[in-house]
Amino acid sequence: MYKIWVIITNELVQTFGDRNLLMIMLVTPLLVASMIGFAFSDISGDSIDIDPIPVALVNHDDAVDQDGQQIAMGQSFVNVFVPSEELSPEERAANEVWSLIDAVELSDENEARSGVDSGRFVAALIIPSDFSANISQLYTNFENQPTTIELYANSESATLVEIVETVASAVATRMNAGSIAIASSIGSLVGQANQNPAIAAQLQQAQQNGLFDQDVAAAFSQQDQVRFERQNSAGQAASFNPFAIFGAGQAVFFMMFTAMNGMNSILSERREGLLSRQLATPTNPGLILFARMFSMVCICFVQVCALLCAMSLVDSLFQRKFSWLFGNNLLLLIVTIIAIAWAAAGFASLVISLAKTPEQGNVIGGVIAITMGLLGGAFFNVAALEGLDIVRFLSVNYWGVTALMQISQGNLAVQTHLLVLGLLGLVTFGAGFLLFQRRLEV
Amino acid sequence: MQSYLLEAHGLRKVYKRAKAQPLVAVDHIDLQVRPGEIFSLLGPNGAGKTTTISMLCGLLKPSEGDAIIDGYSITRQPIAAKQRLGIVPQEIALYDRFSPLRNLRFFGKLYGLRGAELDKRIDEILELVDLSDRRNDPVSSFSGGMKRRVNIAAGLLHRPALLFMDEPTVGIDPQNRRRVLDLIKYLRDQFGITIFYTSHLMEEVQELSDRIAIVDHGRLIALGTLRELVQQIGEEDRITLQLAQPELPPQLRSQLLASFASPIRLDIHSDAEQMHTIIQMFAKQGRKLLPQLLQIINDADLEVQSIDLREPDLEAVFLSLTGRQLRD
Repeated sequence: MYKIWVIITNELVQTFGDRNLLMIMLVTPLLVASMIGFAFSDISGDSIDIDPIPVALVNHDDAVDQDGQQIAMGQSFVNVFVPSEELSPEERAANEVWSLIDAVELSDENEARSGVDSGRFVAALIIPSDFSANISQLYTNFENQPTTIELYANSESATLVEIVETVASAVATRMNAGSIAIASSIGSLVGQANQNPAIAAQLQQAQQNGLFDQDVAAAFSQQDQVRFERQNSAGQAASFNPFAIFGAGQAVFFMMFTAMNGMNSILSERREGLLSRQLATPTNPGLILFARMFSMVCICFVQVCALLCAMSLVDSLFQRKFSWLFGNNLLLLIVTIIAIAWAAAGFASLVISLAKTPEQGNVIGGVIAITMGLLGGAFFNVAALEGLDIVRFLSVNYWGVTALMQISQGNLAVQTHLLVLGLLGLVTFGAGFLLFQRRLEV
Repeated sequence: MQSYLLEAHGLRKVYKRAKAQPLVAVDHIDLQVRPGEIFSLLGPNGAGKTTTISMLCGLLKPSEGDAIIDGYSITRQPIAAKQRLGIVPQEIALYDRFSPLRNLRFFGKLYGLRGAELDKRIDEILELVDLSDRRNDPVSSFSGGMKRRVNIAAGLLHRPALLFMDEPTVGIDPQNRRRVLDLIKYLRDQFGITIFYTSHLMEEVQELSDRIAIVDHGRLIALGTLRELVQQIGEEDRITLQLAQPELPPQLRSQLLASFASPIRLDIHSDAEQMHTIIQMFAKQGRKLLPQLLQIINDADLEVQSIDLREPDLEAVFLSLTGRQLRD
């Protein structure tokens, strides 16, 4: 263990003591993310100064009757994006979603699609007819039926589509996790009350006292049933922040390069005799190789942590108040970054172990890092490209960036992301280790 | 019974190659190194020296054979064997941006040294290589010779019984080369460290070595002291004459071959492009035949451009054994 620690600390000091490397690892992604972030932000204030993104909504949803209540989840979803005409311009401006997305409800799906094709809309959100029916299954048998809102998007406006997708996902997640759960509880209580007069009496009393008013309103009202809101670390509602989205994307994108370069340094050190010198010491060669590879997990972890902190700092400076961009669950955030770093280091070890020379490793590593970035949506929205939408799931970047974005939106349901990143890291790290052992004859 | 610090038995390394015959880099090498001696492995570039040393240090797995270092097999007990050996690789195997102090701390820790003991060793070793005053400067700011000395220091930290030095004077100026060669002798004489030295430079090997092994094409072709090796070729002098003549007249060629018949060997090589002819003569006490040779050339009225007389040396031994020069 001591020698593993010695090798890892040596690598950390070597990496973070190199000014040129720091420029590439930290300053460049910070600058890129900041520049993009500023392009989408209002530097002078708290609100977002971005031209509202034109989006069409088509609601095919058929409302369902549930214990005498009309459940129209599709309409609730639409209401999040389309403001009531009765609202004043000030009230509209105060809503973060409405100031970000200029949504229009259309009845004709074809009109929405052709609007996207012609560039009138950046995206169209199409709600299926069974949306409420599927979700309301929860009230009766507590099984949430899968239902899909289609995002028909213009691939030329990748970043804007990314924003729409992020907001829509956040809203849908809230609908599933928040409102439906409340509605389910109340639905269940109502069902029990129908069979048990004592519970009915208690419910009636509680209802008279107004205890359910807020929850019922949140669950069943047609207006503002679901709200889009992101929490900051202080537990206060915070605005949708492009720094968080672009910061996460750039952090993971540049981290992949760090991982590739770090793994490639094993091949360089073999050529320079540094690895031989280490292998000639009375230390298990497998342990040296493992420590060298694992040090990349640590370096990637530190890099992403530093970048996320720096992004928050830059945002705070321009907001003129402290704001932490990446959720209020620090433990989950750390675990997520570890999983991302683990998967990136594993993936890089597998890629570089296939190279015969450092030069080959440089080329292959660079190409693969860019490809991973492309697949992960660093440059355009792969999900919008028919036939290619599935390949993004192969990318460490996709799982890493979406996990960080979800956490920044206050959505902590990243178990799938962690599982995928963990398994991806395990398999690729193991394969990379074996291939390196074979190539280096250790 | 003679005890050896290092014994190699049937060391062989074969590299498989796609679409080609396997490459035999080292072919059944047997050698023994005695405690306290400087043992040199001499051979031209590509002869298999580095592959041999890599197998002896446990950096490469032999295809066949084994090496025993101070009683421990490098293939079966590598950790114990490696504890007894140090290595000075051909490359400057140091972290360039780190100081000698940080480099030595890192490698020292990998040898299991810690705390005050490690600091004491570092102080001693930096004193030995005369770099105490530059201990905190980055290695990248050092001259080639200074880097070589730090490279040597890193191999000595744990006080190894056997130090492998793979061409440690490559790429340094004569002054620093002298310093390194003196340091090697000092290590042997003062600390009793056994040195396993490889080089393609005959002069260095000749100066340093107690015993010499000559390798060519992965095979051990001769082993012994300098005197023993020279005796193998009969202690012949080598005389080299260069004539300003693109082609030697046939009568003169016949006369020379008749005058210097066996056991004297005479090689005549004309080069029309270079406009010269080289005559090489190998003979015991060859210097006594030189006047006679010059007389024949003079009688033929040919111009002599240069004369070189060499007493028996490793170059001659290698030439005699392989028909090629070391620098070929």
